[in-house]
Amino acid sequence: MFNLGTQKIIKEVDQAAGEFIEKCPKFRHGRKEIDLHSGLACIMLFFDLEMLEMSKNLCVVKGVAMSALRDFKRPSSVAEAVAMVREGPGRGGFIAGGTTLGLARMLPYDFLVDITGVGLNKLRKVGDGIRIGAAATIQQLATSPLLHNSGLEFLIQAALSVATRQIRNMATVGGDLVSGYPVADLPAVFLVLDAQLSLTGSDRMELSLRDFFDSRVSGSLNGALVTEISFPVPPQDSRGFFVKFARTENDVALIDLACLASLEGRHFKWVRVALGSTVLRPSRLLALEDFLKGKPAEEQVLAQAAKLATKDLSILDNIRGSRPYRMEMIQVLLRRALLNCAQRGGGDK
Amino acid sequence: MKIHVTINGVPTDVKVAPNEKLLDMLRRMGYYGVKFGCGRGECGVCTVILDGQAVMACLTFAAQAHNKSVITVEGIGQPGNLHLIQEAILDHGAAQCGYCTPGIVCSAKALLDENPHPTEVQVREALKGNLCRCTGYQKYVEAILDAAEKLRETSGRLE
Repeated sequence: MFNLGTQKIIKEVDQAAGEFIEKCPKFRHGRKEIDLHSGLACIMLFFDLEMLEMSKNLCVVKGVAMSALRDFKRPSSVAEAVAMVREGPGRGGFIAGGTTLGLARMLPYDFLVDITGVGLNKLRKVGDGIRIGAAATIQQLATSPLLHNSGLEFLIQAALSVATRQIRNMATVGGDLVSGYPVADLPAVFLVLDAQLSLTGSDRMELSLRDFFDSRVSGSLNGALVTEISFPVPPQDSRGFFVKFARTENDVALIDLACLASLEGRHFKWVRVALGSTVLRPSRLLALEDFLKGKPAEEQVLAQAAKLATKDLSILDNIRGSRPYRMEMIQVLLRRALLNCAQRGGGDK
Repeated sequence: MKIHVTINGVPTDVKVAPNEKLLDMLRRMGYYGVKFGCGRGECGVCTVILDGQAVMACLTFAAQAHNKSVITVEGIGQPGNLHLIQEAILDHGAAQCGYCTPGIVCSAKALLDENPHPTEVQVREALKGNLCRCTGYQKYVEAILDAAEKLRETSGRLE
């Protein structure tokens, strides 16, 4: 849903962010990222959103204009929305719920294009798949009879774990997935569902959510609008599990973990596990998934699996939780998730 | 730019800046019941009802309210003619310093309009986004459950 600025600006700010990390030991765990939300490189430290703001100020220091908005446009179709951002004048960005954009004091856009009025707010079943409009609110997801009847309770749980009712009423599914908000709760669960993003205004019609997160630095959306999120309904015999682990009920997540598994007797036929909020980019744990294939759901196997979970991941280390603590908790939550999937009978996913 | 918005039932055209927040617009227009707290969607004192849904006015761009209905605490009850939710809050002594109260009234109103039979868990869930630093949550929950019952009785009588 984002419009990236010119490559030149990105390069400059990317370099500035690198220098900044080097100069300040405090930021040694920082990583350069393109902030999809603004289309600019910034340091994603995940301490807090103030840090995000700080890194945006860095952009200002380095001469990248953060402009005062000059216009707020309301297109009536997807095509019109994409054209508005493409044609300008000035830099345009898409806005849906606005709960992330609303946090920033300054935005690197000259105008915003509201996509809540272009018919992207429906949830529907198409064949064996579910298609969710990118501008459907998270509350819509949480109360969807379609998801409930499809046995996707763990997706509903994930939606309910997002912030508070007031935020869920505005924040959208597409925004939570692609706005670059560092502690978004939905990416993990959509990753295990193997979700695809439908795009308008790009050469590609579809982009898998996994590829989207893997290619974040190169800014894969480039002015395209995410219109729908789709995924196949998991098979009857599979079970899903989602957990948001946070310091307090209202705080942002320390760890989001989602798991979808199919078992034959006591053995895992296949397992998908994904982490969000505690890693720089939401990711699937592919090595762990491979390891578990065909293995029995026994304590020893789960203990080995838990060790594999945090291997090769850059786990965050910040004021909310240290890296060792997060690693320990990821292992605990993972064992719980796998046991829960293994112990549950048919029915709910 | 101009937006068309219905505030507490009154249709109005308002001139707003593209980056102006709904909270700032409402306070500028004299709706002081909408409070500024954290400015980042965490405390809920700026809660208003936008097209039937409780939202944080501090995160919402005024332009997003175009062609929509906004209800603030001023539109829920007036001094001398309080809404049953407000009566119940008084009866239960739920408001302490009172700063969070308008937001809580809006969250409660949106909840009861949508679900006249909330459970205690549902009331707590609806209030999750409203912080009360006097920490008087228990009495608010009791007051809202009480108001729900009274509202059901009243609407029963009307039918």
